[in-house]
Amino acid sequence: MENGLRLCRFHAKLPTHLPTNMISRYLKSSMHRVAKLLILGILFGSPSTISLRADSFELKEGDRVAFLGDAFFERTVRFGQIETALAARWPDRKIVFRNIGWAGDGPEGRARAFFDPIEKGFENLKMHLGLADPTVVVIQYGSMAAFERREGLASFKADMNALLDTIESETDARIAILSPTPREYRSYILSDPRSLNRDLEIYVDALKALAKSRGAFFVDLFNTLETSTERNNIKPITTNGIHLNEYGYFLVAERIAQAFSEYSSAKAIEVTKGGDVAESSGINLVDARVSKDSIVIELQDERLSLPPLGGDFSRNLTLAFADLPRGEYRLEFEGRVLATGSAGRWKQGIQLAWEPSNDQATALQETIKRKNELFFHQWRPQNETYLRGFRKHEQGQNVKELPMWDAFIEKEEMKIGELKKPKPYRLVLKKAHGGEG
Amino acid sequence: MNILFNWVGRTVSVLRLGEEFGGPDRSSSLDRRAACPQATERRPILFRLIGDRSSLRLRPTRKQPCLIPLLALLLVSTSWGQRALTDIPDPDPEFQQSLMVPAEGFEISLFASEPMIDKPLAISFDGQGRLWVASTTTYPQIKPGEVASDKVYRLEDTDGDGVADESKVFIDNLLIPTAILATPEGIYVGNSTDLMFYEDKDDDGVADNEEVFLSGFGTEDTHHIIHTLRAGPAGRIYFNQSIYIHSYVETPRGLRELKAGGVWRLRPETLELDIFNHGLVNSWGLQFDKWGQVFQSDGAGSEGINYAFPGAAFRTNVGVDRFMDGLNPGQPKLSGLEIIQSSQFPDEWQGRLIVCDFRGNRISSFKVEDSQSGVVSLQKQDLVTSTHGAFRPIDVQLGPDGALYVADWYNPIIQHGEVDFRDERRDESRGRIWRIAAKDRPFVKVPEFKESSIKELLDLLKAPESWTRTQAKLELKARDARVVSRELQSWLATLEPENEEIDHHRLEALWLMQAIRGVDMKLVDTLLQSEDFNVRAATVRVLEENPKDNEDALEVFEWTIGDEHPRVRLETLHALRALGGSRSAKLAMKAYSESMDDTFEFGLWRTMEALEEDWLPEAKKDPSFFGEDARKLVYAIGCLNKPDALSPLVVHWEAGSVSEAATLPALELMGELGDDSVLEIVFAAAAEVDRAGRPGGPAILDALLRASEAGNRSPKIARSDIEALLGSAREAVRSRTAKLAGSWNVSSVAGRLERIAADLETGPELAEAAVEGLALMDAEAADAALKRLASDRTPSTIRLRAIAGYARSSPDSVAMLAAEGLAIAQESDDPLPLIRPYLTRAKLANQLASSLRGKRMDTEVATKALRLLGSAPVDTSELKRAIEDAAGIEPVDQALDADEMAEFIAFTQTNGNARRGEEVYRRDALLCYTCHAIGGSGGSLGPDLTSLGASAPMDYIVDSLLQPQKKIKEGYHVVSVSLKDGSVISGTLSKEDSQSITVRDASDRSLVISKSDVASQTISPVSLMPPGLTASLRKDELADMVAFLSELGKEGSYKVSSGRIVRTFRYLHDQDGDSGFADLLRHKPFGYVTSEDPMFEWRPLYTKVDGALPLDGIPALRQHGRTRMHYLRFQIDILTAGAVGLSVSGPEESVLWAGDKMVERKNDIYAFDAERGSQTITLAIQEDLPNKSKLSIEIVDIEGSSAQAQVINGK
Repeated sequence: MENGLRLCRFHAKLPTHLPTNMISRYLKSSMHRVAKLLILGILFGSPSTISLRADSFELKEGDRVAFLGDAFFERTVRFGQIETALAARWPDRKIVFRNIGWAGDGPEGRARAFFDPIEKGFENLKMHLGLADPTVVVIQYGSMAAFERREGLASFKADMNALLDTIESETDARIAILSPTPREYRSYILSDPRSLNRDLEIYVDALKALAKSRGAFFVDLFNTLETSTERNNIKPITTNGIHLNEYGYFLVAERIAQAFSEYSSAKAIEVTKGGDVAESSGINLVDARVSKDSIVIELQDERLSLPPLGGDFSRNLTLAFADLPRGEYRLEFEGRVLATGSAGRWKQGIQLAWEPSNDQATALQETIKRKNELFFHQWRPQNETYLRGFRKHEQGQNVKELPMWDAFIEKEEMKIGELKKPKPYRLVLKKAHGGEG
Repeated sequence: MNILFNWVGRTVSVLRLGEEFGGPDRSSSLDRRAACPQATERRPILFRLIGDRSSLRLRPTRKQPCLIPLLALLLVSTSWGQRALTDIPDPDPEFQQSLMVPAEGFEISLFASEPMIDKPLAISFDGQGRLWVASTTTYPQIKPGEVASDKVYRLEDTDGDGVADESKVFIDNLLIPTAILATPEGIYVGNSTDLMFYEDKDDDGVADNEEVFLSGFGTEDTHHIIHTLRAGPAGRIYFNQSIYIHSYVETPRGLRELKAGGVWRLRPETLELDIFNHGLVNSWGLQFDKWGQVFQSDGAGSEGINYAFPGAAFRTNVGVDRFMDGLNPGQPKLSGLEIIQSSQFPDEWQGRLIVCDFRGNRISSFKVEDSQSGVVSLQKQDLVTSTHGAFRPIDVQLGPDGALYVADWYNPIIQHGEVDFRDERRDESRGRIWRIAAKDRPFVKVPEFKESSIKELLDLLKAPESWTRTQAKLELKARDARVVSRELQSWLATLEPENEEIDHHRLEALWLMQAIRGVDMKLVDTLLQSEDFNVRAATVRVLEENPKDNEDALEVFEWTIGDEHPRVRLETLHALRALGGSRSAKLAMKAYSESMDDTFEFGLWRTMEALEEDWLPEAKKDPSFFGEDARKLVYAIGCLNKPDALSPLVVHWEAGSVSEAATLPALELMGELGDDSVLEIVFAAAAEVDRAGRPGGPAILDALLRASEAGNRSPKIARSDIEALLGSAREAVRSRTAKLAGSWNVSSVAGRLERIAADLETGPELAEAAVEGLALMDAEAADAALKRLASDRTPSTIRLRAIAGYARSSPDSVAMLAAEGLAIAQESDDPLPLIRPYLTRAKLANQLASSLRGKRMDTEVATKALRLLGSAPVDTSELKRAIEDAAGIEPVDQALDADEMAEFIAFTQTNGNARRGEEVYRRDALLCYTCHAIGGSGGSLGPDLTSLGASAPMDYIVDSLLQPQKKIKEGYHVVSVSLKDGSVISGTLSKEDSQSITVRDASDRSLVISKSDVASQTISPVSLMPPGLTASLRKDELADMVAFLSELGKEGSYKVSSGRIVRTFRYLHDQDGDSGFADLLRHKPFGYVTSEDPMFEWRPLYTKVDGALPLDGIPALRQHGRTRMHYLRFQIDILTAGAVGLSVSGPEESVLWAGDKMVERKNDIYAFDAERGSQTITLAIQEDLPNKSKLSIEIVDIEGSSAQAQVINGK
């Protein structure tokens, strides 16, 4: 990671969001292998944020992180990548995440007001924050406010300031502000997002200035995400031009984790003929046994990466074996062939379309999603009118069920705590016999 | 029992529930079941062995084979007590079917039931004829630790025998999915906070792609969450949300907010989302008729069918200042709605609205007909009735074969507001889809949409089946838009001009174009030439959606605003509202006339209000912006109802350019909205009007009074001017002037007001006004005058009035006097004005309480006072005690604990008698009718009880009677409004707009509160129904009443029939035998009772549930000779003029007058010609005729008459 940092000084201008084929073309140049491996780290790191700031926003042992915002956070209950990336980032630290995002909400808490005037919405927002009991608050607002264009900016800033004042006065939490993500061209839905993006940029700039003036950490997702446009038809990151799709969250999750505290997201290792490590990044060799027919290596990720999505496995391990005798070799996990290649290919390194820790990461992500769903039922239950609203005299007895969710949430938290620690796994490289390959 | 319940799961629950039939107290149910031969015949052999009684106890569903061993477990269970509360019918689908009675000529069959589905909430057929079912076992609330696992099923009838034979679980991770719509692109599902979209690319019946389509919908009440997804005629998707929901939806075009009920309109391709209309309590029914007109039903409001259009607003809406009424006030609450357009149905059913009366276990029908710009709706016969209490028709859709499909949510318990979330009687596993078809009529051949060519699909637009046309359009929308629009042009050319339906075919083409490309203006031109106003109206509606996209739109509207048919003009108003701009506003006002019907007037108001920013600046620049006739300006400003808008009219007035016809309305508006200087002008003008002996003075003065109530006004008015009007020849003018004098603090006339108030000859209205004037004055002279009037030297009527007035102006200093007033008040006096001032602050209430110490009060007076106390917004417990002490009333604690409740329910089931109970209910002393209606007849302060028994368990009814605070029906909550002066006012919210709040208090008094006086407003958990109303009843009487209430709405004698039965009457009181009055009547001609002689005192009288009006105990009056007559009156509403018929059954002879014209009776029918509007009917019935107790009156249609008439029931 530290190497990656050093290296990226030279390559900070690399595009942040390249299609995989461009990356491999780039890597085919005759650069040193490890340099190549590390460049992967840069590519999926976040060069622009790295070059912009020196501080970081590391999450600490015992942190409780609240995600506060609008649909951007609300929809992650379905996807889970942001929390997965952050949980995996510090596998040994106990960190708890509570998502209190609410679609359509603003920093004044309008969507949380139910039957009452908007001020009550802000009171409820505070109540939700209280439930999350955060040491860290990650905030994203502004996407909807930007539709009010320049005219709405002053009141948005005032509302943001009031929100930050409240958080500061009522908690000791560290605050990170995420910018909204850019609007994207989506044919009929958003045929021309340019003017919307110009409006949005005003808000992003304001948020950045606000974060600076208030000493809050700022993550720019607006300027660091590449979107599909009418001319540049890349893989879309939104479903409708404004809300991220699964792939969008996949990209954003790592971007946030990198912004908080950058790391090499490229996992690469080169194993020598004798079973030693020549070079490695993000992964450790626990054990290696070399025999006549095979090399058995036991590997352990430093941290889990997000499971591949939609054919993009660029976060997976690139494995290289130096100086193998000529011939074809196949790599196996529990009898399953993961990759086959000539000694030359293995020398260059092969990136695995599937690696054993992908399943663990998937399990982690699924558990996080389930935990978040359970928490959703607790903090934002249906039938609010009867549980705590003006008909609580009729059905308020059922509000006793809300604390009961704690036990179920805690159970999932325990699983998350286990799942986020990378488990070692064993790979076997065997010579392919006969005319194979 | 709970453990057992969970352990053995649903099988046991079936048994438990089934068992409840067996008890000896269920004999009536047993009889009904035994009388049903199908049910007995189909009984499985197993149960014949066990014996008849057991078979009823233990009837299983077909899917539960292992019953016998469990029986043993059940028998040792100990909690039988709770079971007595239930009325859980046998769940066997065959048995359920045996209790369903379809209308003549129809048959009903089971299409699907559990386990192929579980609990269906919404259904939708796709183009392959498969039925998609959104269902929930989670409702009403997910249990701690549960992961959402509600499902969408795909049902298929593969062999075409009318029964589903394949069921696939399409999605299984939903949380109470409340809506579903199948389209060729995929399936839309309303699910909690999201509108979801699912695809099934490989068509295997399992979703393979999911997307959150829109999110941010509220979930404050799980039966209000977005629902009723419908494909509109032109490619848009409509869906509803209900009263408790607050939604903030992020769209690529910005945030969309909807608070409370309303209909969303979505263009799925572009995510353009707007609010189609506002309001209704819980509208689970929405459908389009052949012409794209929208109709809605309401599952919690009781006004039957509602006519909706863009911008419409109904009761309980948030954000629109006015609302429209439903078309059938007093109807039961109605869920899913379908409009019959299917050749499978007989002709007379075409166009009929089918609605689910889920409380009353029946499916009803309505017929709507055009009436001026709007429609009228008449209830017709029921399509299905049932005595099965768990039959809950909730969604209804025409199917591909032309039959009608009904989603039966199947549940003995329907609610979670009043009944606990975890109530064990909730059914969590069953559900049915029924199929209703006309007998002996062919089914429709199901078209193959997917395999059809574009040309073939276009031809399907000619189908008489609405389902076929809708599917064809959906399929065409999924095809290549360029090819479709090209082929559409050639298809249009092939239409035969002589075809009667040609314009409808063209309209379908216009809708299709709107869905795929945009409005085809050439087609618009053609269709605007149509002779059918429905076609022209629908064409304008097409332009309403995005008028800015069409440059020629305004030109079209210039033409259509002058259309001969008001519907087309109304549609133009909607479109102009959408288009906006000052030209649109000006054009809209072209449609203004003084004879606009209500619907039309609403449309114009909505437009002028919405376009304020467009036209108001123009009118300020040019007061003649709407033309020379100032009435238009008056109307337009009246739409805004705010002082800031008044100036153009004042300019007009001062220029003297307000015409004669516009003078009165202009003065009223200026009086209401003007500042002090304008008020001076208006007052002077009012004096002028009065001097000239012209009418209108009181109305102008009322406007001035409203202005003064709304905010402090103090125009400079000379004493002599006030004196002049106090001397007016009209009492109405005098009394209003008296109040104004007080309100404007013209203290120099205090003496004059005192003399008026002290004069025994002064009429009550004026006397009260004089006191009020004094009370409003802030002057020593006024206080002194009140003090004199309140002294014990004045006669008690005047004294009481003065004390009340005095208490109003300074309650804290006159608490002793108020207490004295209460002590001298007699049964006939109204103590409420005395008490009210003391209920706004706890301190005042306590003050009055201590002043009452040692005083005696009349019991009746005390009872009236206590009723008001029940819902007071402040703590009145001391005052309550003081009043009880003063009147010697013993308070009763009526709460029952669980055992007592179980015992009482058992007692009621054994001994309760609904017939006797109805008599108890009708007792004057209980005041039930004052606040509650049955079949729309009675008061509306509390919920209508029409289907109470069919929807509420008995324990709920008992609780509601004994502890009214415990359960409060939605929409009947008390709003507490704290005013800036520190006082609090409470009542049910009857209206709220941007300027004011109107609440009705427990004495049914309406109070208008200006928003500027309001400090805060909260919904408070109290009921307006005072506790203790039933305290005077013996146990058996209470049991009878509960038995009666719990029969209400169930199939049988206590179900309100769908006929137009007159239920609210007034009878002529005999003035307690006053001989002078009797003489007066005897010496007048017979028809004199039809006059409006103020001597007549007409008192309310209500029919029994079966429609019969008991005349026992009603005084009869002697008419010429010895004949004694009962005189009755009622009103009916004539919606369309023509010959109207009244069928009078019961007594063989009666005399009937329509207005003052005596009507001849032929074959028990009185037929007469009536004009539009409300019509008073007077009836005389001889006292000694047999069968007079069976008197029942119903409106009937006269053959060949175009008249439409509705009953006016109410209080």
